[in-house]
Amino acid sequence: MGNLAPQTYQERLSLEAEDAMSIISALKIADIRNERVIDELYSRGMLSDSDSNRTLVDVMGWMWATQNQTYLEAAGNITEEILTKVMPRNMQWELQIENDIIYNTTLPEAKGAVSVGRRIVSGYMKSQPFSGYTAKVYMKKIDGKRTAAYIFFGGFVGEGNITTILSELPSDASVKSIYMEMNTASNFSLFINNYPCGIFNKYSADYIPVDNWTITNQTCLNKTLPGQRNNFTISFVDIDLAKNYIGGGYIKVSYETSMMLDAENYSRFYLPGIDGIINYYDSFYVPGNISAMDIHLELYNNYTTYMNIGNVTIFNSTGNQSTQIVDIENSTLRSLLNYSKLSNANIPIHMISQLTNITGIGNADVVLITDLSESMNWRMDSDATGVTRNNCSDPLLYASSTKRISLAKCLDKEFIDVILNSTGNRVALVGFYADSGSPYKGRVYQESLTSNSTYLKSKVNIYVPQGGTCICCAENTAYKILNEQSNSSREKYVVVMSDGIPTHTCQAASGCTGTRTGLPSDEGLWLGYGAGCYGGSDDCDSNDCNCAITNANWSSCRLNTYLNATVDSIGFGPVSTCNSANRTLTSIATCGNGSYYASSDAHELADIYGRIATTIANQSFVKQTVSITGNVSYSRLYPNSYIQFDYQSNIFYGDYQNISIRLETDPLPSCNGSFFVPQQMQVSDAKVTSYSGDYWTHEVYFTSSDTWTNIFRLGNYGSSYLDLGDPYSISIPEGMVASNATNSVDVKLGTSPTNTSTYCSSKNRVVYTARIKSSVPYGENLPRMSGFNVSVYYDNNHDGLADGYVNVAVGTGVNFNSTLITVDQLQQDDALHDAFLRLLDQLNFLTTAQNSGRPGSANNPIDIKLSEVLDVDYTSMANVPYFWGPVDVNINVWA
Amino acid sequence: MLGVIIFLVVLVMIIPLWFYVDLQIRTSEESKEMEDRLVRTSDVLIKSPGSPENWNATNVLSIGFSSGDRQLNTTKIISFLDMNYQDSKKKLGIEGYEFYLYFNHLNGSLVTFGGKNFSYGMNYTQAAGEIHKIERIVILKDTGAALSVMNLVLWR
Repeated sequence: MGNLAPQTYQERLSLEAEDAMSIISALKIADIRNERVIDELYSRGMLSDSDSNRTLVDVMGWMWATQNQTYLEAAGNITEEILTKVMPRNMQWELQIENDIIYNTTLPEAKGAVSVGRRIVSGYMKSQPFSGYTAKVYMKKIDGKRTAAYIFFGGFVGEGNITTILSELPSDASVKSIYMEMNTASNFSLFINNYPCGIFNKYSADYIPVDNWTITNQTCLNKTLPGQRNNFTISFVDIDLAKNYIGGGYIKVSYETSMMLDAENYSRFYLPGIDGIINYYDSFYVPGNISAMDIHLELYNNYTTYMNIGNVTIFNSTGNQSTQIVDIENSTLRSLLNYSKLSNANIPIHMISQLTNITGIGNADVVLITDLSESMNWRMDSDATGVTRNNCSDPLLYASSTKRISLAKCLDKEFIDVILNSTGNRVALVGFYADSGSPYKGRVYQESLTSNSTYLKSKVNIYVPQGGTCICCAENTAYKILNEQSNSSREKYVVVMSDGIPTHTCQAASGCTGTRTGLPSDEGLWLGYGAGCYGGSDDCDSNDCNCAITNANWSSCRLNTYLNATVDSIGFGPVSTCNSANRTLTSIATCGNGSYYASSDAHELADIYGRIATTIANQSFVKQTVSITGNVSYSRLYPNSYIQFDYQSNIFYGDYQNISIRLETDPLPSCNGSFFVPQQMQVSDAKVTSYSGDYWTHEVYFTSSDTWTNIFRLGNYGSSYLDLGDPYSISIPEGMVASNATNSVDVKLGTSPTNTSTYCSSKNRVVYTARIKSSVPYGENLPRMSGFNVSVYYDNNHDGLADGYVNVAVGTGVNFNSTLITVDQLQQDDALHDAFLRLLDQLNFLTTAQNSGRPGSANNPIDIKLSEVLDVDYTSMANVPYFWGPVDVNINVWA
Repeated sequence: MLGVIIFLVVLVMIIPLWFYVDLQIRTSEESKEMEDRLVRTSDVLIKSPGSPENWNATNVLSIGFSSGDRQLNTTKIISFLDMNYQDSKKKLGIEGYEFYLYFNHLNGSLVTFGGKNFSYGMNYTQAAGEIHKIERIVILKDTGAALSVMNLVLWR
């Protein structure tokens, strides 16, 4: 190259450097095994056959990383012998790793024009080991875990004794406890496979009373048979079928098993057995796309029975006196139902026997206010005294000559009957009047809220008109009654009837707004001679009674604003021709968010009372109960009835090396609640429970981020909730529940798409199946690996306390040391110890505040009982280089 | 008149010098061009697998011996030995030159494999003009000694 141009010469230098670098990067020890220097290293034991596939630069890097003089010299010798052969003799060169020269032909000072061949290598660091051990651990079996099987009841299951089937217990299950949580209408006995497990009494005083009981009686627990179908029968003590139902709830059978995965069966949805009158509201969920379905029903029923899925009637059968077995084939169902809309959704289902004497059950508290002022003695059509009619069936009752009070009493009684025809509704009475002597105090007569219509009607009978008109007294008394005797979950109504102009105020001192009730020591105040308000026709167009009118209006506003009560008003008699009376009752209805009606016609007034009563009854008609009167034939739905699905799941959960366990959150504090899913868990099935009481579960929302997603809306299936199912357990669609995140649910109740409630049970919760990997992947590279024998504490009942310990042998074929150690003695620089510690951490998914220390220690037991022999896989040293670096390897060439 | 004479004298002196310089420049450029071709061709041979990837003497589109950086495939070298010389020049992009390619072990002996000497082309002993030669260290695993030298000579 001596006669080459300088630029060309520099290029040749560069080529030589790059070629040499490429050669030592590509050349393997096996390729130069016969070279003297390599052979010598073999004979000295510094290289072996395990190195034959390593490249020359790899070996150089390793030898350099040791910083051992012998190895550094060996690296220099290899470099000298190999590179001297390939480098042109007239060139000088050196091999350099980082700043260390491994070999050079001349001293650095002699460098002229230098070209560099460079490689970046990794896996080495000066004075650091270049290879080590890593291990992964997995379990092929476990010795035990505590999990649970659930029976969920629908939002309303009745009316009669109820039998459900539990078939999910594995054959090795050891039942530890049975927990029942239900909203039942009455006390009941529980039978497990016909064995009596005791009587369970209701005790909750909540608006939606949810009770819970735990069965630990071993004899009873032993009646729950592993691997078999188990019948759980709820037999109500009360003979009144109207009190024989479950308004949501579940039975949880906790058991221990060595099966790694819990049974999950969405292919068949069993209907509950009902022995009484079939009245069933529930929902089902299929976690995938339904391709086919069929229904099998076994029932004995003398009444027409129908079943709704969504809002589609898929079964309607006239009753007969024999057991009917009904199979509805896929072809029929496919023609009736839209399978795609049933897939991955919570579908309401409703089945009911149609008895003619079904009555609704309401949720209304109504205060019926009656004017008992002196003018109620007048005729319907004028200020003249009317005729008393004591018999409500008197054909002259509706005559214009009838005293207003006589008609009012009869209409009040009819009103009471209509409202109280629905079980659950209550009525209170308030009559307003005034003293007939000075100072003419405004007073009220009152009866508390009750559902006893006979009692109320007897009190109406003794109404006697007297004195002036203290409407605000009656409204304020209604406020007191509703405030003290009702609650936020009930619908509240006030009906104000009056025939005239208010004459009294309820303000203690001067002013036109006050809260006096007319009760003793709190009487209303007559406006007095000065104001000139006597309530006669001369006040219809004057301002004399304005203060009393204002107070009546204000008290109505107060009822609506603070108690959410609806206030209707009725003008009784010739009110429409009196401006002051008209203005009073109109403003009462307006501010009370109700309606105002007026008439002097008795028939029309009867219609008005009836219309208001019916409206209230319908609006508050909520419960799913069939109230039965008279003799009825018992019907049965057998628990062998089911809906069968063929479906394709959207999400595949690998069963390999998974442990599943069923868990539940604490009760959610209100309609809205959150739960955290640990990072090591994958949730494959989650249900929100919703006790709806007198309502239906109307909507459910879910989020694991900032955006709420509606996962159920009953209104999507129809506006008449009575015809739809009522879900108790609402499935959260698969894949939505996030791990290592806070997940939130929001439950809303209602009686129609537009009539919703802010009330929720404080017993709702989330029940979910969590999957935990029973293996850990390879960990970081560590300098040692050895098998060991360790004691691991476990907490199967998840109370945070150790239930016992098991001695586990891990890696019996890997430098095994049989001396028993604790988890605290496991070494973090040992690959197998490290893998096992990671596994313990993964299996310690439930911790309490009292837990501390390493998972598996006595103070922090893991939540799975390990098998005594753990299968271990591990990798060997040669395949596990450290990821040190990068390290710069250079060949510098110069003349 | 004197000025014209001086101009003509200078012109007569400069013209040969002009031609000389021009010749030198052209020779240098041609030499540089040969060197570039040489390096580029040797690079292609030791770094490229050729085309198609499993080419032979009859279907080859471009020639390359590599089965990995500096690791050469002896089968392809043997295929190359079977090629027509003019065709091989065309495929290597050195039609304006003659070339000679041979491989030797580190001890200088010629590589032989499969009964064939690994040498090909027109020997440059006949060269009348420039000769450019490059040696590249390569790995020829099949030949008994992994390290070999590929020699490429370009001449005209």
